Amino acid sequence: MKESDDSPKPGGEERKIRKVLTLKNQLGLHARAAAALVNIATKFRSDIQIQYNDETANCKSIMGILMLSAPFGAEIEIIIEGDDALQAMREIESLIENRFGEPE
Amino acid sequence: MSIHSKTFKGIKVSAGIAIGKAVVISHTFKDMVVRRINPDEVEAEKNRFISAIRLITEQTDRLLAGMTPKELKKIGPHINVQKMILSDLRFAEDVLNIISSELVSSEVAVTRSLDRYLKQLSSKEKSSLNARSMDIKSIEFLLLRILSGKIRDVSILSEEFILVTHDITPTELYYYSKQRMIGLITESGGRNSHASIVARSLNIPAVAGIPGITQAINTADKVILDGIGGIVIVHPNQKQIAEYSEKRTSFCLLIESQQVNRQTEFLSRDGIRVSVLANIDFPEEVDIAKSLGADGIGLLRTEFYFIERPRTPSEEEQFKSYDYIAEKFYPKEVTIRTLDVGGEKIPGFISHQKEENPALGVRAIRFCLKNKNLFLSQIKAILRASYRGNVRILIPMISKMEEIIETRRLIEEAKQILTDENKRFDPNIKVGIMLEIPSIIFIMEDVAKHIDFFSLGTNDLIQFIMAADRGNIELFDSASSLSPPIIRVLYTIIEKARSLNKPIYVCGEMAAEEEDIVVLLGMGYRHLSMSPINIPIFMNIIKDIDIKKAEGLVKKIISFENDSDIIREVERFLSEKDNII
Repeated sequence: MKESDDSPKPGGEERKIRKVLTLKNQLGLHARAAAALVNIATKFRSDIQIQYNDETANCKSIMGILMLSAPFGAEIEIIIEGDDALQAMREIESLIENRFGEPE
Repeated sequence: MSIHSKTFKGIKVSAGIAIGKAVVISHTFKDMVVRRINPDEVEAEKNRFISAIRLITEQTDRLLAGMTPKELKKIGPHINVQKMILSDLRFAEDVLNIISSELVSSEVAVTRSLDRYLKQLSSKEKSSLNARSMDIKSIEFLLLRILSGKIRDVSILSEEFILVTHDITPTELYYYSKQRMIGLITESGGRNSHASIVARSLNIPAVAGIPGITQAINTADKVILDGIGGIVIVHPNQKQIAEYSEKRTSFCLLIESQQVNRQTEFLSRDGIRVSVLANIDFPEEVDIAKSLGADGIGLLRTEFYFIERPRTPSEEEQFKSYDYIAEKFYPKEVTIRTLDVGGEKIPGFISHQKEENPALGVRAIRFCLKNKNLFLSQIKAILRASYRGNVRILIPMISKMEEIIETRRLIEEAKQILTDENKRFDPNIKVGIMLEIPSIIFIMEDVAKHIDFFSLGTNDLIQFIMAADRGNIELFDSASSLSPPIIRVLYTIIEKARSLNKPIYVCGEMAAEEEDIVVLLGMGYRHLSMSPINIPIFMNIIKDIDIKKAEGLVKKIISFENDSDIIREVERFLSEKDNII
């Protein structure tokens, strides 16, 4: 894969980062999980998008996320653009890694 | 000052006992404001929607603020989801756009907007009753109830409650069950209304058919609901509360002990084996049916795959769902009944002629034979789920031979298509018919040549023989299962089935009443299919029944001339049985 133009610009304030993550919680992106994601996303100034199966949704809209219908095991891509992108990605990644706080 | 308790008798719909606070919703969805608006009303209408959202959001915040940490942990997330959907700009803009561009009231706009979301979801999900759809549906209920002024405070839905209402849609019922609903009392509806079926599926104790009950009970009144006896007590006294608490405990213990033992062998007191299967409507019920000891699925109704959905399910969607159930129960049998409603309830089918009497109209097999593509896709889906060898097809509402011949032809056609498509299926799949229209009884011998088994639909059979609606409380006596014509018909049927060497299954709710069970067993019926929750109750009953003695009872009552003699004799038999223990 070639380096994309989206890689962080050294020293710049504006950054766009993307990361593919796998949903490890049994229910996938169901309502409560989606709500947790929105809760985190709305804390940040960055524009945060989520992509699954060629569909993109705004991480700050629960309806958009629900409409993706991403199930257990789905590979989703998080795309964040803005000055607090790194911290946002860190928190979202940890939410997904921790299965949205659901049991295994 | 104490208020006197008052007892109401209704139709027992779903077993179980609930004691708690009532929430009364005294109007139906049918009263909802569905109207077009003028361009100059657009602003006012938009404001009405915005105020409704604001009201719910404020109440929700107050609700969350007043919760204990424990409550917050348990239901906080769910309420948060509601709040989030309500404050979702995408949704709000959608509704406001629909109001101004389509010139409709808020209610209509909310429904249309959410329907679009649901449509989008259902194209991706297996079951229409999945969690995502339900969360969205729940918003619709809240908004519609608030917009119509029927509920003024949503917080009442956050504690345990018994819902008292005129009628309820299955989807709304499902939603409340995910809240903290512990019981259901309805004015209308009988044992087999769709809401009743869903209440049983969800194991919510329920009583139906008490006219005026929404007036007799106020929100926050204390209520006892006994779904086993069909009784509702308002303002119960201490003695009644103690009595029903005890009943509730022993009922729970009965269920729990069955879940632990997972007994699937049901023997009568004199050691005769009876097979007990489950009637289910949703794949979600498979686990409870298994845990309560069902020896297979005697009846999978498929109506909910079609009704209350934005569109008809594809063959693939149906296959996945049927296959899931077949796999879960393998090697036990799973009997799938083809669609048993008319076109008026199915999306995409507009009946051109309004039927004066839909119950006797174009429904079930009649509808399917007129809509062969729909029928063929269901048959193909069932066939594909049959490859393990444990699935059977059941055809409802058969009234004449031609329907059977035509259905068999379609099944063969479906097999041919599947062979061409290189898909596996059970080439020897068993095909049965429902015995519910009386005409079939007279031609059972001819019919038997073309089918593998019979399923007795006692509810419809009694209804059609007596020409009496079983949901009509006024006609209770006319539609009794313990009446001479019914007893004799049931006896004729089992005798015929025996001489034709065809298995016969009892699928109606008759398989759940002690009095009826004794009579059915005494006649020789050995395969009974019932709601999962009734299995432990049945288990408790059958272990005390001496089938040899029940045969004697049947010999006696078969010549009785009126209902009361039969009922008295059966009750005497049961009370003697009690004395022996």
